Amino acid sequence: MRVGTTLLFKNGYCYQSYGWNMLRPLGALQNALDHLDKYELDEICILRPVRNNDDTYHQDLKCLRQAKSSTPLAFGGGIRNLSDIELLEGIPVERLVLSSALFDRNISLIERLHARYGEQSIIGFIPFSFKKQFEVFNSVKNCFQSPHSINESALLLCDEVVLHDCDAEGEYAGFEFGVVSALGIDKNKLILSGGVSGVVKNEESIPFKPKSILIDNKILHRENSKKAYYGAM
Amino acid sequence: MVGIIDIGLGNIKSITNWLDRCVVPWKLIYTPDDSQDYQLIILPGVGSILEFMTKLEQLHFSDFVKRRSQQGQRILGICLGAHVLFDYSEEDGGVHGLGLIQGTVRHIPMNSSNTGWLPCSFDKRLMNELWKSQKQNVSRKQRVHGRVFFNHNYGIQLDEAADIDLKIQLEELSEFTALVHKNNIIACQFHPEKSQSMGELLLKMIL
Repeated sequence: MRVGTTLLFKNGYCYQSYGWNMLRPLGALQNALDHLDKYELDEICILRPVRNNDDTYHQDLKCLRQAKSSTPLAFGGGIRNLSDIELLEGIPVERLVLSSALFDRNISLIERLHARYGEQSIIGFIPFSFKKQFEVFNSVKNCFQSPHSINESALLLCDEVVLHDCDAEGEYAGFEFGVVSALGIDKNKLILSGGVSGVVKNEESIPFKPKSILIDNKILHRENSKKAYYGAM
Repeated sequence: MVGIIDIGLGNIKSITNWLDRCVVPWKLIYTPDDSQDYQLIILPGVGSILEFMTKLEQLHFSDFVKRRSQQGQRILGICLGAHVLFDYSEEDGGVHGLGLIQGTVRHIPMNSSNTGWLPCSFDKRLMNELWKSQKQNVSRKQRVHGRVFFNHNYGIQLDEAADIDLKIQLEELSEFTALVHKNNIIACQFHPEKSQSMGELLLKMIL
């Protein structure tokens, strides 16, 4: 099982997320990557928390092109149509993360990414919540929807799938494992995120072994520690 | 100077970052040019083999790589860049490679890709002798252990008749080869540029 982290990135800065809707600045991307490199994590997943409006895609890619890291990087957030793919040239990442494409009936975007980056490069990202009922988040529409709105064909084209628990985001524990049976995705393809940090110390506490877990960046940085927080700035 | 073949595909930036970390000067090669001497030519690769091989041929890099390898140029192929050095790949319905090493690239029998870190070790003496015909100081630590990063759906299987100098197999994927050395060519299935300290050590061993 790999152990990585998520790193939220937008407008050229990294952020810590609170309750899926509030972001607190963390610092410049390169500073955050430099600190995370020291942890020798297995992977870093850089995510742009874009919703329906995305006006900083170009600016963020420009910043990402300058990034240097010895840790494998995945990047997602804003890759929504074929013209966005061309703009990805020159970014130092190994894998791409898609979320809104999973809700699209048209799978040509994923097929094009397969041809360009290889089947092993595509990761699906499904944010979910059990607060009211089981729902998944569609970033283009900026709202939670029924899980039936996910295109299963698109899901099958993903090499791995991140299940992100929005309710437990930033928590040490609390990931809702009921999502696995509710979505019926092959367990060997799963990456868990949001409330799974405790799993690292206690692997027996979870019902199956996922391919990877992504620890929220604020857990990794022990946000209560001023020293760690200012170190990341 | 290290030359990096840039056909507009693959993770070139990760390679240049890796070389920068190791303070190794590099130059991107956009067109085949026999007049320039390189200590090492890197053929990087992230993608699918059909598009990669098509671009190599369109830009006349397939002949360039074959010609330079015959002239003794040291070449390092990484992941997909390593796959194209072999005879044939099953990917994308079957694609013929450059045929510089006898072997086939086959699909890994797993539900998803082999993505992650696996333990690996190198004998520094052997690497140095193979690459530079130099013997290392025997009082120094000779075998290095660490972990390297893999991200692939297809793996290298050598032909029994393949005449190679060195291969590194992994316990976890014993049917496939992690690294092959033949004359002046190294085919590396894993990503040394993203293998943290072990990747940097590997670069120092081969340069």
